[in-house]
Amino acid sequence: MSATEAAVQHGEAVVEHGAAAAQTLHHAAEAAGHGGGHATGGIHAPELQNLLDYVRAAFTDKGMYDDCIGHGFWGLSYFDVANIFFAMLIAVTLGVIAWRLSRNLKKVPTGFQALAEVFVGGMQTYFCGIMGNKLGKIFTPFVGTIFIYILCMNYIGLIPFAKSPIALNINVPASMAICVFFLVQYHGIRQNGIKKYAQHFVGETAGIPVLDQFLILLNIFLHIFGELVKPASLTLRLFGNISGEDAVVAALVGLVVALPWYAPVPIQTFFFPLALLFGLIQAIVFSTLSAVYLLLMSAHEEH
Amino acid sequence: MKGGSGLMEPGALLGLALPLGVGIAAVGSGYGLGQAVGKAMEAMGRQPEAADKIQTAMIIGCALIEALTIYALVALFVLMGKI
Repeated sequence: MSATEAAVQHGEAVVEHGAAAAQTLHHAAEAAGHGGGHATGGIHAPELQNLLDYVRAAFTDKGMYDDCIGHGFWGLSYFDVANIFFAMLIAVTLGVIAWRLSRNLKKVPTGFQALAEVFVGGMQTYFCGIMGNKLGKIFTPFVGTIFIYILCMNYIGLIPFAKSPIALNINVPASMAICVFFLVQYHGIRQNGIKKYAQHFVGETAGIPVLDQFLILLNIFLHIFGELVKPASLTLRLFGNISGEDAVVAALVGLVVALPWYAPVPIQTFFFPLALLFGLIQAIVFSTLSAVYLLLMSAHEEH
Repeated sequence: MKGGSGLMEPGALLGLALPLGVGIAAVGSGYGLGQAVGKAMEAMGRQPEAADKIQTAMIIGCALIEALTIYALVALFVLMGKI
């Protein structure tokens, strides 16, 4: 489908959806039949409108489906800003909750503190089971924070007028994977010392002159590649899963919009239990794999 | 869109190849997931007291297998604009 054709169809869809949204206060969906959604950095997929889309359409002459603002501000497009806005919203909310909770801790916990202690205790037990007691106690704050953050980001995509910061924009998952990457390297250097850390990259030598040099080169290349692949696979797994999940929800909402007005069956509702499960599993997988990478980096002198 | 005509048009080729590619990737990782989960279930049935550890390892393995399909899906997202 050509770009102009798509733009024309988008324009029609906005008019239709505007009327429908006013009536039902429902997600005005970009229907799946459009053959592509926003051009979010080359990623095309069906996508629901979020709060910022409405704000932007109200305060600018840009339509709801127009492309990026431009490449002005540090190369950030409007769609990057939307994702970062929701990510910051979650981060600030979680931060304020944690700050308020930790102000007046009681010896005998009541109410919300008791709930939070059960939650944090459960996470510590889980990560200690993977990494061992010592490492688990050190890294539960980091890995557990990533778990809660990702869980909230996955689930906010299911709330009307909100967008999952992970969906259709690779920046937020990449930021977390890069944090994990640098923590793993730092932990490796601090735990083993710079010499053993470098030795891990070089590997063991056999004592044969020419073969040794060749194997050392091969080992260095393979290990550096292996370390770089870890954050890439963490990023792409989370990004692909949540983008796919949200695209399916948007496509199903598009089917609802395509139905006649007297029979609006909320088809996307039937996918929500599965979406909740996927979001939880991806959060568990990301934090568990981070824990496993940390464990591998600290235990490698044993083999 | 530049290129040939009919089925040899890049857009038409992509429209054919992208869903097929994701489907083929899904076949492979579906087979892998079946193997992994089946063996894990067997192990859990034989040793129910180790179910927690087996389940954790199984979920990590499943995520690694599933990632291969997700790479195909990411390729689909990236190339979908060119159809």
